[in-house]
Amino acid sequence: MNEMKMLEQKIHSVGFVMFDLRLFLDTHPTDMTAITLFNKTMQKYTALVAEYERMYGPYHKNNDTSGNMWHWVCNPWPWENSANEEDN
Amino acid sequence: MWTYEKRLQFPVKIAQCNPQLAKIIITQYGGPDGELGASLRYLSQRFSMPYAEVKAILTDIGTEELGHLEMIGAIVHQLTRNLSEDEIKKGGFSEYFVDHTLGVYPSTGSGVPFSAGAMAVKGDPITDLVEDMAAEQKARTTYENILRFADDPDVKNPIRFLREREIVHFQRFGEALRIVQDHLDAKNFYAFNPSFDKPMK
Repeated sequence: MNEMKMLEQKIHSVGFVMFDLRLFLDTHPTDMTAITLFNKTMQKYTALVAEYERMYGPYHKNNDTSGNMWHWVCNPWPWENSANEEDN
Repeated sequence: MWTYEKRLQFPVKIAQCNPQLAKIIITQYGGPDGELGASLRYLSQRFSMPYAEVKAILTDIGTEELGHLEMIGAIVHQLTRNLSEDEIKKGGFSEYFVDHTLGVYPSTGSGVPFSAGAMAVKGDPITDLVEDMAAEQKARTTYENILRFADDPDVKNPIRFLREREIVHFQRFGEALRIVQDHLDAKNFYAFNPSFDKPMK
């Protein structure tokens, strides 16, 4: 796996920690341990996305128009085999 | 309002086609304990849910289930892509094929189209949350049954992930039920529907 993919995977896993903490916080909205962990994880996420964007350009591709092209339409789409990394 | 993230929640990359397995797994797309029913159930129950934390958990889990629906669709698609007519015949896939070719259609493992009859929106927070907890357990059992027939790690890994999410959701719904029960007090000791029968202040 190349470095760009590795960084992408790191962002996904930190994003998943935030995602799962969000469910926990729904039913424990004043749990300070969880809030602290969420904030820490979000900082980590923001830093990783910044690192990605510094090296490889926009991480969220929704509005990417580089090279005079609307990149949202580009293959692969998520349900296709080739969009998903092997080493998971 | 929703936005779409152009990725799966957990990767699905299947090297080997397997139409027999696809026929079983499709039940989690459109079957009685599948992801479509799950999403529709939680997102619909939100409207009569009086408590903020529970509205939040129904929204977030209902949204995640749509992501799971997409994962199941991806598994079925990748298990059946590029099948030859011979493989379709040998894989017992002809009955599905004649109706849907290689499209992904919400139906049960036995081919019955998706029905909202397998889910409930009762408009009573306790009733609905107990249904949701049962639904997560039913989906967990279904994923465990699928795992009995799956040998391919490319298929087993995303199915195991989905099974684990059912357990997390069951836990969160249990906490949501406790939150609802904490709102019941001496004025509503017998737990009449706290969404409709407003106890006197």
